[in-house]
Amino acid sequence: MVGFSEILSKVPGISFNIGTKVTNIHITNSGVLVNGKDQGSIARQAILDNINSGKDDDSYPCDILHEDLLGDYKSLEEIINKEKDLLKILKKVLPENRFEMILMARRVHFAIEKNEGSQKIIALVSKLDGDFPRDGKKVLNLFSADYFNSTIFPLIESFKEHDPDSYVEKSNDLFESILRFFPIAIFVNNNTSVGKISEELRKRLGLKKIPFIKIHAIGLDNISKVETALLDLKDIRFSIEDNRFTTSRGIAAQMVKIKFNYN
Amino acid sequence: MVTFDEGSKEDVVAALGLVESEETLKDSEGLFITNQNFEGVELKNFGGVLMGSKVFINNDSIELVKFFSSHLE
Repeated sequence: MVGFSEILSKVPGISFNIGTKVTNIHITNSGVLVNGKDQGSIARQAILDNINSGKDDDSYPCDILHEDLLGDYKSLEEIINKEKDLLKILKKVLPENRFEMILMARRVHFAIEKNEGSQKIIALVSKLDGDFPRDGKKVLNLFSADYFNSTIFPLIESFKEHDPDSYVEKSNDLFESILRFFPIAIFVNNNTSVGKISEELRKRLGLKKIPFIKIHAIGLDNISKVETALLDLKDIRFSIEDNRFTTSRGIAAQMVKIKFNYN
Repeated sequence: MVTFDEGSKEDVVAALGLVESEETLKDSEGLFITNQNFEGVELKNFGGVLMGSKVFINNDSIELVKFFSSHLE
């Protein structure tokens, strides 16, 4: 923002070196914080005048954003920068509104990963649920269980490799079928009862052509519920693989894989 | 990037050359400004303008998602 540096250096009454790198400008009701320091009302007006200079042009001098959106902006920018290649794969195969749902869910998952605070996370989950009431939380669960990396991306790559002419359609069908029935995953949260886990298991065990079912649980209470539900599943038709680990936030977690013994 | 708080929103909107007309914001030519969905933007929901261009957004994270999605090259 060299332009703002020049402008501020000319404001009477403040000491601002033209060579100072301006990394952050925040306009408040009475002043303007430049790199965290309040430079007062005259500097504030100088910044507003500079913004005003762009009103009749094709562009303004910079992005201008409400402070409420700054966290989301920075997070989305970081997500895009770090995961651009993978996101482009999804954008190529999915309709725009489905991709936007995924990006919004990734933003929520990013807030959880970065431990942005429970209030912020609750607000983001509520926003996701409000904007995408049918599938938003399911997609968040897919991120929590690392399903995009472990299942969805490899399958899309496989479709592309084996059938490049119809891989977009197949990838679309895959994504929609995962969301429609969630055939291979059960996510256990604080509101999931033992009975509900058993019920979801029974539904899936009655299906054909499902290679496995995965149950994901985070937290000792949820793990205990899964253990109880699994007591009923002593059957030679299935093999149970119980994986325990600790999340990046130090919470006990479990991923149970129930494989069908078809032989 | 310039950020603003709720208390300075009206001054920022004025600096951008926007005026409020029946709750919706208009530009200096008297045209209603719109977000990426071509919906009018109201002062109470105003969230900013991006890319230095004239992509106006409401104060709603989904509008940022749409913005980043549309600019994913």
